[in-house]
Amino acid sequence: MPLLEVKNLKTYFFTVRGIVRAVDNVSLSIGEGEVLGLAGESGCGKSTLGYSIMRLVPPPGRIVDGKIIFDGNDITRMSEHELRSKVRWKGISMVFQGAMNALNPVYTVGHQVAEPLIVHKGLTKHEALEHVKEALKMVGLSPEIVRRYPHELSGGMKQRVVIAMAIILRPKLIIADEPTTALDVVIQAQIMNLFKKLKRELKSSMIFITHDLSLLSELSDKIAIMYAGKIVEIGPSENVYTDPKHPYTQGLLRSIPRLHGKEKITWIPGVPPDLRRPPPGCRFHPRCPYAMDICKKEEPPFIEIDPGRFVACWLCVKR
Amino acid sequence: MGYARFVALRTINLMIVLLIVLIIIIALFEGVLKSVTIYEIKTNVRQEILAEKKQYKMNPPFEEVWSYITEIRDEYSKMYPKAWLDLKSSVYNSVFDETKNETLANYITQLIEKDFDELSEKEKEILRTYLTKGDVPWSVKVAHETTLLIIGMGLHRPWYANIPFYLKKIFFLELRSNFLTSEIWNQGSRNVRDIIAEKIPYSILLFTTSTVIALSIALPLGIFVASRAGKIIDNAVALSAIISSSLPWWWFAMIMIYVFAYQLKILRSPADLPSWSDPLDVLHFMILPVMTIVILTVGTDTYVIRNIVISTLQEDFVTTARAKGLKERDVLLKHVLRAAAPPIVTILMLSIAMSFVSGAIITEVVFNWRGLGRLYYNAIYGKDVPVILGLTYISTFIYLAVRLILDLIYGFLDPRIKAG
Amino acid sequence: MPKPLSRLSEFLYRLSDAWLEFKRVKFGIAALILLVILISASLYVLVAWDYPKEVDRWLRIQLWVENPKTVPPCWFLSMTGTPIAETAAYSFTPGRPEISNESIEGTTFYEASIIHKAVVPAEIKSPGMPSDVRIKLIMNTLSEEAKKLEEEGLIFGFTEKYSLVIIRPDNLNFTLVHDASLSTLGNLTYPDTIVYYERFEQKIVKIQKSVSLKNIPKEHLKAVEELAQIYKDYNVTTDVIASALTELILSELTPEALKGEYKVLQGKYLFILTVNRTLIYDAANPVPELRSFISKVKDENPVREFKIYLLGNCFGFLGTDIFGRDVFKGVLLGVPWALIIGLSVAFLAIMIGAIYAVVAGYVGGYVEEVMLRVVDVINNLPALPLFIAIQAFIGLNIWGIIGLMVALYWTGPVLTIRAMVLQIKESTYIEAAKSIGAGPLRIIFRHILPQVLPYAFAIMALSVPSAILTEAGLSFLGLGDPKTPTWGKMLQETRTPNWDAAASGWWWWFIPPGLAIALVGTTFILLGRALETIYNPRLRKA
Repeated sequence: MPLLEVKNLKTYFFTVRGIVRAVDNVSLSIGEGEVLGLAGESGCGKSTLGYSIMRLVPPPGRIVDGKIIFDGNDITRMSEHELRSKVRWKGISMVFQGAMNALNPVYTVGHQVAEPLIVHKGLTKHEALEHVKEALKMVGLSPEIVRRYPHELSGGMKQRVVIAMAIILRPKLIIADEPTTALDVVIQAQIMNLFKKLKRELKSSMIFITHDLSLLSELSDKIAIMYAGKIVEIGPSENVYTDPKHPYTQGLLRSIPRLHGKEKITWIPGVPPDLRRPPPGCRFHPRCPYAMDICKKEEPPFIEIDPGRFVACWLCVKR
Repeated sequence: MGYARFVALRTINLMIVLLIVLIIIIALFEGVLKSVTIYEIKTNVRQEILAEKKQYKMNPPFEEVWSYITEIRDEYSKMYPKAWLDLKSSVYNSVFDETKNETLANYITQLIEKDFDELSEKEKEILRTYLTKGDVPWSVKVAHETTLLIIGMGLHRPWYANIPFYLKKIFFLELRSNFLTSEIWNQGSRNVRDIIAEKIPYSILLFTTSTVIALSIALPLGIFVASRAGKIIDNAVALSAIISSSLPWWWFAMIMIYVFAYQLKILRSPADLPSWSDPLDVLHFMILPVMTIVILTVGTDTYVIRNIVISTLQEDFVTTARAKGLKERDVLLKHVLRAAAPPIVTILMLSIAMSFVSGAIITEVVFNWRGLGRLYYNAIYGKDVPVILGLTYISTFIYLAVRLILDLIYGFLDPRIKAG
Repeated sequence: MPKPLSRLSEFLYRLSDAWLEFKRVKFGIAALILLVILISASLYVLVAWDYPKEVDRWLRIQLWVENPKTVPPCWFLSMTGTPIAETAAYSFTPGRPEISNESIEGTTFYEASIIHKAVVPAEIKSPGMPSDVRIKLIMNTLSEEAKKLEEEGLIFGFTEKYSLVIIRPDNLNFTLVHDASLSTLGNLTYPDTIVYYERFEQKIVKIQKSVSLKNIPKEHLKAVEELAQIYKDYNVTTDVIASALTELILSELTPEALKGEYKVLQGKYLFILTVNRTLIYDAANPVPELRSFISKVKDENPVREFKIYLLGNCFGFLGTDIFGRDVFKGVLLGVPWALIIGLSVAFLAIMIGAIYAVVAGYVGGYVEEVMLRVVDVINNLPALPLFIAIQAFIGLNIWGIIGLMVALYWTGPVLTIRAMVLQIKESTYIEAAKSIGAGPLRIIFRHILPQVLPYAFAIMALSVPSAILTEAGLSFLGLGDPKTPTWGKMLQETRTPNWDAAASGWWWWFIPPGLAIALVGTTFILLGRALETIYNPRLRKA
């Protein structure tokens, strides 16, 4: 039984300028202890997907259709109360994009990391702080910073605090939304190492959201590529990296600079579509070098070409 | 430690600004200050000399009077030119009062310009007679004493030389009013300090009560409206904020009086003064003014709070708090409110300080409220210059003090300052 | 390569962009409509009227003396069903003089009595009760000349007295003034009583009086006794009758009238003014002076003008104030001033502040520190007490007040704009401009200032109400410019030790000016908020 199953999820934003279909009929699954890397350009809907799984989509957005089954329970049908007490942070926690702002400037680090323990496990502040110090050590910080305020820490340190906060309740699933985007390269490497260590030691599942494919190679077991609100390719990372089937994936991989290898790096021409009025048929067709007539008219089905390997492309549909 | 340093810095800042403001006031109103001080000196001297006169019952001899005149003419007028002119007009007035003869008074005033030896026998005789007659020698003495004091205090010097003197006078409100007297505590005193100090508690009472009530409505209302942004209640709050910041407070007060006191007759009219020593009576009298101020300020306060809460609600740590599984109420109270407190305090307190000084002051006039505002009005109406000066200083002081308090509260709430 | 847009078309393009955004903000439209109304109202007032002359008329209270005082607007009376009384003026026709000339027995002396008359036929046509009855007369007087002749011994015992009688439609007579002398008829402390004396060679030869019936001293109002006589069975004091004299004279004399329920007696009222001169002269000594004097007395009707004004109980759109002035006109006169004060203060102050902030932010370093300290000090000054002190000691005129406000308000936007400048300064295109060799002035005015200006305009709009309110507050305290007809000044006039409009219920007088202030203020705040939501960098998010 997979830990998390997302079936035909649709999350739309209802704005004055039109309906933005941020997540449009997405399906995926994650097993226990498995790390899924979710990659795509900015604005493709990956963050929204992450928020949808926790049912934290900010208005004017909401989940319109589909199911999210976590640990056997359908999250989309749960009451707010159940969601709060059973799922949020205990079952699924999140490491937010731009951790600097995820911390409340008026409370100490210790207070904020301890908060989930106090709320969910009923510990006293004193008891909770012991656990907090352990968590801080685990992420490579000195336990003394429990008394510090966020503004006294560097960007990298704040990011580690946020990670410590995410693991404090040992949740089964951690969603990390672009955790390294705002950091410089050196710190980025350190944080990636931290994630690898946590994967080894905690054995929790993770959804690692990023636009940088190169980060995912060492961490994720599975990779899902998202484009314009849809998942275009998903499969074991090694397979996706060595044999990408979808033209978009191919384009993305070709644009990563490599240390070894003499190929020229190329980029994908054009811009991502406006999610209010996506192009008919396959959403990638305006930028696809292999676009066929049918691509312009009909959406390609999401088919399993190999066990655990799904692609949405007319090229892979055998006639 | 950071906070103590912060407090110290801010207080010093306040003192510096207050100093600069006082110096500006002195520079602008030096003429007024000088004439007020001189008037005080003259009045005191006159009283003393009057007592002396009663005691001695005998007029000073001619030689003494003449020595006063020549001293002023030859020595003091070099330092303080106005002294000679003052003396001449004193002589003229007192001789005229004695003799009712304009020509004679003129003549004598001209005679004293000359050296005694240059005078003819007849002229000397005239001077001997009239300069010792009745009140004439005494007014010369007054002029002389006054001049001595003026020069002694250094008031004849240019304005910047007297800054410390004026500073002290204004800072401690050691001024004497023209005609206003204190009414409540030390009744009948003409000391400006008494006159102003006794009114301060009343202004604070009215204003603080209204502010507390307004804020206790605005805070929950602002939070409530923030979570319903864009809906009707939100627009209503925005509209009332806009309208109340474009209304003249005192005019709205007139309307409230008209509606509630004269038409509906359910509240007390400002013409129906209370007995100020009876707290219940005062409270009853206070209902209409407090209601008016609350209605005027609640709109803007709510709007400010709503704005800050809305912008705080968009911060990432709010989403984090929700993700952590906190109840919405806890998210609001523990995270949103606590983080929004510093900017709320800043902006709110600033607007409150400003409205106290500009709005409430005039509103007191309309309500016949016995505070600084009405004192201002009376002083302006009767041109009581020293009181106006004192009020200018005090209102600046209060304004700066309120801002200091706001700074301190802000520093206390914002750990970025507390932790240094 | 597309051709680069010319400066003008780029500007127009930006303008239309801004306009599209502005249109989206709904209240921006409302504000704009209001603004257009305000501007057209001021233009109308300034151009279609002879504005300086109208202001002069407004300030000269004597010109309004024959208008009804503190009456509500007529539409209000129609709404509440109160009958309207129109304002009407009636002029006199001279009557025939009555002359008697009798000799005194045993002497050559004659006693002459000459009575000249002037009659005004007034008429009340509607059941509305007039608010007042005003009497205006211009009369020649011979008493000074007579005095001279008396000193010379040519005449004796000259008296000149006059009386005023009303004959009502029901033929009841009331004596308003009886045998009054030169100096009576009118109490000079009332704002609506005018007495002029015209002198010729230091002698008073003509008097002009305009007085309300309510202000005639009681001693001469025999009408009070006459009414008391009529009501003698009802046990009323003369004070009660005296206070309701005008109403009683003009209504049916029923018992209800004593309680205040008046039924106006409609019909023709005759106001008869008589000038009664008596003198004794010696016929045996017909000196030419004496003879010309006597013929003057006999032949010249001393009454040059005698008018009766029945002042209505309502007037115009917004009624009248205590001086009888049309409140609506007053409000209109104030519109240009409100706009002038608000816009000039806002524009100058914010412009100065913006440029100051841009320079400070750009220059940086020590200079910037000093500039900011200056701003800090000025920011910490409470505006109103300083204004009060300055106005109380040095009464500035309206332009001085405007300058004063600019001097204190310019520091408002400095901190925010400086923050914006600091951000802009770091942008790469500034560096690019610098590396091209652009001087600081060019960078400031071509690159930084245009970015800051839209926000500055928003702040300007938001500052207009404070300027207007400050001036209104100062005027209300009596510290404004007495020669400019601002709304604040109108409100000040509603409250004096002698009267209080709010307390007396004259809502049409004190509500419109304040409402006007609020309206102008609201317009500009809406405008400013609309601009701010578009241009404030921090509010963009919401």
